[in-house]
Amino acid sequence: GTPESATVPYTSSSGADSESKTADKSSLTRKLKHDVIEGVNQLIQEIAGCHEQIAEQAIEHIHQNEVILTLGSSRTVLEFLCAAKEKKRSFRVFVAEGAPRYQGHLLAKELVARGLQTTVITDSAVFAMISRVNMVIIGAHAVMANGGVIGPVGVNMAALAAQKHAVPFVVLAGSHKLCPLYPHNPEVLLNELRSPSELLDFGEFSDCLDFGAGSGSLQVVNPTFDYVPPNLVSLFITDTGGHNPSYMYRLIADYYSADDLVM
Amino acid sequence: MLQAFQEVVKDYSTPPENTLNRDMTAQISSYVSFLIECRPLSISMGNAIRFVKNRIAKLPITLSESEAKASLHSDIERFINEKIIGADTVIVEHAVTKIRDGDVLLTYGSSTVIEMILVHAHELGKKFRVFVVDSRPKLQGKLLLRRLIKRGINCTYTHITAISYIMHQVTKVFLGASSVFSNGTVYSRVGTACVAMVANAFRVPVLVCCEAYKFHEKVQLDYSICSNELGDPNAISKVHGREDINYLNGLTNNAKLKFLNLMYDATPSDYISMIITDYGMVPPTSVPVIVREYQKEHLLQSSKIVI
Repeated sequence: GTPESATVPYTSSSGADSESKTADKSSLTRKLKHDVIEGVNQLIQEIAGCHEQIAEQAIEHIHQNEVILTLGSSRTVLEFLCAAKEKKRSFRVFVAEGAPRYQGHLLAKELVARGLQTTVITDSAVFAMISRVNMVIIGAHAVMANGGVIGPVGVNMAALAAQKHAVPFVVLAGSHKLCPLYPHNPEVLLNELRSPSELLDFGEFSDCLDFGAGSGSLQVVNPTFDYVPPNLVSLFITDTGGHNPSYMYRLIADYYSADDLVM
Repeated sequence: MLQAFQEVVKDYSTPPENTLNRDMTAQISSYVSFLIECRPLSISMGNAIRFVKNRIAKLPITLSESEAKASLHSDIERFINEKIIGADTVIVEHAVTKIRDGDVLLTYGSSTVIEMILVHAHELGKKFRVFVVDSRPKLQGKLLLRRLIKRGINCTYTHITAISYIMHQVTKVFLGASSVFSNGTVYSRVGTACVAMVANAFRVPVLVCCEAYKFHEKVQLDYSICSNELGDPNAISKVHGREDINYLNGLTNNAKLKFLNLMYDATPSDYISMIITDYGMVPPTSVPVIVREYQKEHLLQSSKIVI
C-alpha cells in the first residue's frame, strides 16, 4: 500500500487511492505555499508602511521651538522628525553620537541633509544636556511583552536621565518589532557582543600584556543593545497609534497566535 | 602652576616706589590673566591662586625683600606638600579600607588619586578587578588602563554607553573630581554624572575622592551650561584611528550642523554616597562645613595646620 505521509498529519484517510492522495497533497501544499507567501507579503508591506503611519503622528507630539534628544540611528525616528518639519514646526535636535558604532553621526548627516538644525554631542554629555531637552525620542530594536524596550546601547542611560528630569521618553516602534518574550535577564540574554576592536585596536595593548612579568588581564566589553524597563518609557508610538507600556501585551495578543505566546 | 609661581617669587624684585605686597599681587594677577587666555582656570587653580594672593597680602611690612620672598616660597612649598601631595596620601589610606577581597570596582576616565588608590590596594594584596569606563573624545581611560595593567591589576575596558550592561556586576564605584561645590554637587569630567546616575539606579555605592583644596563655596544647580568649558568641536566630528567612520567629513562648515564638546558636568549630591577627602570620609552634606573650616585656616596667621 501507499506509505502514510508523515508531513500531512491532518489527513486521516488511510485507504485512499494513491493518485487522488497525491493530487490532494499537492493542492494542499499549493494552498499552504500560497498562504505563507501572502502572509510574508503582508508583513513586508507592513514593515515598509509603518514609517509613514508613525510619522503621521509626529505633528501631535512635536511642537514649535522644541528641543529633541535622540540616540543611535533609526529610520523611523528620521521619518518622524522630518514629517514634523514638513508641517512647518521648527525645532532642534541633539544627537548623541552612539560610540563605538557612531550611528549618531549617520543620523546627524541625514537630518542635516533634510534641513533640520542638529547638534552632535558625545554620549557622556547626555545627563548634562537632558535638562535642556523637551523630549527624548528613540527607535526601538524590539519591544518585549512587558513593555520593555531593546534599543541601541546607551538608551538606558538616557531613559534614567529623562526620568530624573521628568522629560518624556518616547519610543517609536512598528508593530513588527513586538516580541512575545518576557525579558528575564535582558542585559545578558537578549544582547549581542561586538568586536572589541571597535574600542581598542588589535595589538594596541600588546606591549603591556606580558603575563610573565605579572601584568593584569584585559577584557573588553562591547554590547550592541541596551534594555529599558517599561517604567521608564512614557509613550510608545506604533503604526496603530500611541500606547502606554502597560498596553503593549494586548497588541502582542493581536499580532501573534496564542500558540506562540507564553504569558 | 604653583611651581611656576615659585619661580616668579624667586625672580622677583620690588620696584623702588612700590611695596612688595601690592606690586607682586598685581604681577600675579597679570600672569593669571595670561593663563586664563590659554585655557579657563579650573576651580582648584582658582583656590590655589587665592591662597597665594592671601599669603602675599598677609606679609608683614617689616620683612625685608629676601625674607618675604623666602617666606612666600616656603608657603607655596607647604601648600603643595600638604594640600596636594599629602592630601593624596591621606585619601589613599582612607579609601583602601573600603576595598575588600572579591570587590568589582568601577572607575571613569583617568584620575591620579583613583589610580594611586587602586595601585596601593593591589600592593596590599587585596583581590579585586576593575572596570575602566572611557568616553569620547578624550579617551583618557586608555591611559589609566595601560598603567593599571602594567601593575598587574585585572581590568575590563568599556565605553560609557555600556554602563547599564555592566553595572549589575559592580560592587563599588570610585570617581575623581575636579571640584566639589558647597551643596555637595560634584564637578568633574563630563560623563561622571551619567555613571553616578546609573550606579544609583542599580544601588551601587558611589565614592568620590577629592582633595580639600578643590572644594569651593559656590553653589550650582544647572548641570551643564553654567560655568562649563567647551572643547574643540572637531574632536567630535573626527574619530581617531577609525577611518571607516567618516560620515561627517565635509559637513563641519554646514550652518545646520553644530558640535557640542562639553568638558565638565555636575553630579547631583543625591547620587553620591560618600566623599573621601584629606579631612576624612564625609557625606556630601558635610561639604559646606569643610569649606568653612578650610577658609578659617587661611585666615590664621600661624603657619600650623590644625585638623
